Amino acid sequence: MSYVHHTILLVDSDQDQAHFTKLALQRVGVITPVQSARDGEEAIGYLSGRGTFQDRECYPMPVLMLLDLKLPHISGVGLLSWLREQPALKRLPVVVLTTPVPPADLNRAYELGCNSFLVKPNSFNALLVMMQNLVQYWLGLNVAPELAGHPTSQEQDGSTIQPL
Amino acid sequence: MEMEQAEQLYRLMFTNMREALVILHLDARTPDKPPLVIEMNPAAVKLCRCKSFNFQNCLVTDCFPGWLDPDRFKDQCHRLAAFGGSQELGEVSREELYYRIRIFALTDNHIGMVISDCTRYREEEAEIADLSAKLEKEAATMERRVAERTSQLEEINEELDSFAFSVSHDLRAPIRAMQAFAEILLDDELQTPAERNAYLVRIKTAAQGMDRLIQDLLAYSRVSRQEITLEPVNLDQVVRDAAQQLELAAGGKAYRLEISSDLPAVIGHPTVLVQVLLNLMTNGIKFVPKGVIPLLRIWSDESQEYCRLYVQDNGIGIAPQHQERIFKIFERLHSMESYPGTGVGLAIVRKAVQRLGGRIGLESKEGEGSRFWIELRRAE
Repeated sequence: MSYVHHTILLVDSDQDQAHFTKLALQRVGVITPVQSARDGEEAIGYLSGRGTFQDRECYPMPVLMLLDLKLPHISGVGLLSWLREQPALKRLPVVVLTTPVPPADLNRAYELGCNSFLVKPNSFNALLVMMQNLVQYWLGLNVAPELAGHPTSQEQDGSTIQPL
Repeated sequence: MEMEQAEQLYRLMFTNMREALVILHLDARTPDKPPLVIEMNPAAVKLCRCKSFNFQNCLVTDCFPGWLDPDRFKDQCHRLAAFGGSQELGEVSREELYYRIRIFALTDNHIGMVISDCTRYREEEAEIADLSAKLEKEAATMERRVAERTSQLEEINEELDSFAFSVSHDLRAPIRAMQAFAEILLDDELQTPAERNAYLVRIKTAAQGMDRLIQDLLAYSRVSRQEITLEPVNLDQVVRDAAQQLELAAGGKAYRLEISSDLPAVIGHPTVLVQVLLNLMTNGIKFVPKGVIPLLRIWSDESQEYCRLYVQDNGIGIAPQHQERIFKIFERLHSMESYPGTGVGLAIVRKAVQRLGGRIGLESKEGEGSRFWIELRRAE
């Protein structure tokens, strides 16, 4: 099965890991280009459609965000907490895909409404299996919420984390 | 026992008591009349201030002037004579001695009075109070020290926990990358030679990064554990040595270095200080915007006791909210591609400066360069 209009936003500061995840997603049938952000600021820019990200043809709103918690500056948890406070974005399904973190961060992520929590496997083959399952469930079975296309300027001002 | 002998024994007993004993007479029918002293033992005579003691019409307040309130004493005596019993009249102090006075009913018309010296008792009590106070203070100090120590240990434990976590994370990241790249290379024949080559390069990069991280971790562990003997160190020499090593470390990268002359001598350790300086200087020339030639300035500022050595750069600067974070191990503010590193360098620097008994800090604004300083005790 292939997934055509399903933009996934991948937030990971480790470029190798991001590469593996993208490659794995491609292999399991995600045809829509996987969008990626290297840190929290870039992800916030993408989601709120700032600068070049205004162009929603090239940078469509994602139906799913894959989030690594280990990010420079704004942490993954910080990004999640920002996201849940954005009226237009707060329903976006977020799957944490991270290296192991202390239990406190895991619990915090759930408190902030992550929809699933996955730990990156060491092996690429294991990652393939994981992405296969993930795509089948989140892009296939799961019914996505409605998202507002573009956040209003007022909502942008309501952001708690100012991009640096 | 014959009456006479008994009488004699009672009298001897009365005479030889160390407590002052006084027998008072009072007329129960005339409550306004104060009690009169009719008998005293030698111990009581010693305390008596009444020069004309005659056993008949001597007032208690004459014998012991100022010891008792005359009216209250009179009432107390009459009450006892009427109802019986005994009463403590409290303590009186005279010439640095303390006396405790007790009266009790003998007959309807007679009252016995005992004056006992309680000075020693009081002294002991004071001593006990003193000792308990000391003990309490010591216990409090001890408790505080235990609490301090506990919180220190808790802090160290937390540090160790997060350290172990970060080590495993940062060491496993390159392993995971190598494994995954290798798997892709092994399983897949779809790749072009260029892609395969790129993957191999990334495996090599990951291995190199891991090696650097292990080396940095060892350096960190060394600076945390090695025995450091503090001695006077000439900062001129330290900065010169660090500058030489920087030239090697920079690998041909252009930079400018301005070192003020006449840096003082401080208390420290030469090799550790060179390492600290080298790390700060390496950072200084590393974190610059693309195309900017790094400029490092080094100078010192002295007070009577301390010396502050400044290392200033013209780099990208550090926002205030990150200025504490950067000293933590594995903290990196930038992505690997923009400014590669292990996130251990400044942790080593801070640990080293702590080991030298000094302090470290920085002043910086984003986009305006950073000014790191280390503060060390001056050598005489």
